Amino acid sequence: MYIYSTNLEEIIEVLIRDFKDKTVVISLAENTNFDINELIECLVENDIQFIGGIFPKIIHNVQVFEQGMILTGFSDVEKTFLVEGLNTTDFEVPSLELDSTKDNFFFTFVDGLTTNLSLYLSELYSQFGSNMAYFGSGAGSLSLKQIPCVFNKDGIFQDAAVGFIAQSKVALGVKHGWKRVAGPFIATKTEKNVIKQINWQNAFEVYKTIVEEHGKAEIRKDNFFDISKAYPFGILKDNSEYVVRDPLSVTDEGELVCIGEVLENTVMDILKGDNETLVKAAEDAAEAVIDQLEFPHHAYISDCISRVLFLEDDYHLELEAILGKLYKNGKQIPLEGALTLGEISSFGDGYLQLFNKTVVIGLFEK
Amino acid sequence: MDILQLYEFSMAIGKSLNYKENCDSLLKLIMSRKGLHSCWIHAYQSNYCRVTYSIPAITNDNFPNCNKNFLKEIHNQNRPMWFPITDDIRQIAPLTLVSGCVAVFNLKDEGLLFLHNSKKQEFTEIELNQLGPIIDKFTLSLQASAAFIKQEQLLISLEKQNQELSDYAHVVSHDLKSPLRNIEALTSWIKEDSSASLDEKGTQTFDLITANLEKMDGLIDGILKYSTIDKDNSESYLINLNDLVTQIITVMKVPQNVNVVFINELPVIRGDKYRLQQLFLNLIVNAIKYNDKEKGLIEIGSRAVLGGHEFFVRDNGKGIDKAFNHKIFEMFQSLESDSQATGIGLSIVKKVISYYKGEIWLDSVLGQGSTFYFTLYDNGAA
Repeated sequence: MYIYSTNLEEIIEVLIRDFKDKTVVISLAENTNFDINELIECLVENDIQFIGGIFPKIIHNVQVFEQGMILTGFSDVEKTFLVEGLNTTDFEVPSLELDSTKDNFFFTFVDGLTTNLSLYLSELYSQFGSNMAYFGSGAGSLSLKQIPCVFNKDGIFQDAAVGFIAQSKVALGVKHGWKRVAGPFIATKTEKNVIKQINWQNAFEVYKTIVEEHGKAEIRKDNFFDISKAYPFGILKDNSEYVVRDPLSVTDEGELVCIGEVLENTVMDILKGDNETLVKAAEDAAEAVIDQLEFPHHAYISDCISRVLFLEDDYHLELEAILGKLYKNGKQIPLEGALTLGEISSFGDGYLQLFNKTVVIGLFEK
Repeated sequence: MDILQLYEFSMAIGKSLNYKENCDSLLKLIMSRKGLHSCWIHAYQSNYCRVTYSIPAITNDNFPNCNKNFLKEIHNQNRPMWFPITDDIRQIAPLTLVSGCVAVFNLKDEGLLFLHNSKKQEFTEIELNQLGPIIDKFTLSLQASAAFIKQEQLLISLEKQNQELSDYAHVVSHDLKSPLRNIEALTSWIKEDSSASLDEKGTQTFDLITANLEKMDGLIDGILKYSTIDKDNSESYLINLNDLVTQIITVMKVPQNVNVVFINELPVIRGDKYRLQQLFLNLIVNAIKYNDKEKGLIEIGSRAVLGGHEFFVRDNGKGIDKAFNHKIFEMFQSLESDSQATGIGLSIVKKVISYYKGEIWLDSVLGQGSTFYFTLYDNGAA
């Protein structure tokens, strides 16, 4: 449900009326003129179970909003949690004895710009394994300046994750539509999310040579993202989609700063996309999930903000393509979600991954 | 692509000597790139089944019903293999496996590595052959981790034992000193009170008691000094050894028939005053104590050597038999039945020199005298 109002009484009234006995996921657009702490206080006073995140923009069906909030209800939630200290390696992920005969899933909002996001995901997988599906979104500001961006009953946090474990049949669709133009290359020197060398040479020099050859336009520090948004890196995996990494900026030393960690000696290609293949990929993701569930109730989408920056005015085509496929039993399945800084999915039941420039659709029965 | 992926895998091996970090570095990467669902390492031992690493993590690493014979059988094959998920595999798996297949690699003494894919029906021979050399290299890094862990445990145990020994010496010294002083006081009171009735033998007996008490007091002091001389990491500073040794000679009781001379001016070195005092004091005391000549001569000198200085303390005393050259530096080793000798002095000397990473050795001729040589290096001081 999309709510534009910032009137707390109205919001609480809606929550009590429409989300009884549910845990509510609040996806808040960053430009909403709102005191988040007052909202948290109010929700706690009214005994409403919730988690939330702040995102550059939010999605309701085929519309994108820069203000307001999306409220999404989930039933049969077994445990909600907060993980703090993701800028260190000392954090603890939640634990819970799960009934493996049931369909469990894990939903999380995490600070998309925190240092140890990949470690958080691998610790989660280490804790729960492939016995459940994972779905998540990287929260944060479009300015790419780190801010407190995930919240729960205890307050709003930076370098943290919130989430819950619940029971429901879930289908996950993960697609991006980016195709190889050059490679493979080896990221021979990296540090967390910074690529310092490619093939033992200055990273920017190598990237510039390839991109200028294909794009026929000069790439410099001052126009870097305008061009690089069309040429992400793709980490190669066996029999699977690339894991995309988005180069955001270049340092004075010619190092490429990405969203998401790139391990040293990672083998990767340089990719390119066009509007048509990106929209088609999103449609394919929706088509893949709709057939997997008998009685889907609602869909949550975690769509990378850089896809909007790339597709620009054509972005609505992506949402239309997705929604067009979300029909089941003669009913339109509502689509809600956010434009995110990193997308999280287990591809249904495999190893947990952080994606960039990707659309992840979660379809839920409850 | 295959070759580059193998390069990526091989570069992830041995990034840490910590066992878990070492496993994390390679196995998380393989899981991610190969789209695997779980993996674990089964320690191969004939008398127990134990999982030393797994993704996802397991809470219980013991399997009372684990089929050890089956594990042994796989281990004996000594080659990469794959199995569909059957009851045999489920029985040795630490995780619940529903479908797919597992690839198994021999890690030699480190056990067996299992890689599980719940979607695949088989691992191809090419895949197994490609991963084989990577896992062999990984095995070597696990062996290095195991050796490192043993070394760390040994160091911790040694440090603990050292600390316990030091604490013990402190406690013993402190607890022994108090009753010793009481005995000394009580004995002197009895001697005073009974002076009129004591005959010569009785007086001699009391003198013997006093001498033994003094020796015991010296022993306790020596033990404490020995146990603490290399423990305090006080900062080093420049010390003029000429001044230091002159002070030592001035305050100690040098018999009139013994002459102590400097052969050359001793250098200024970096060190700790207390330790260096103990070093020279014990050597000079030793040289005086075991001098049987009418005119005793003790010569002290030094020369510069690469990275530091070599010193000597030479006497014209009794000399030491070559057979005892090493023994004299051991605790409580006194070559003569001197009632006052504790046998700790040269042990302290050796310990101080070891602290400064130097060496000590002896040149001696029976009846003519001994020369103790030792080195102190500029970078040896803490």
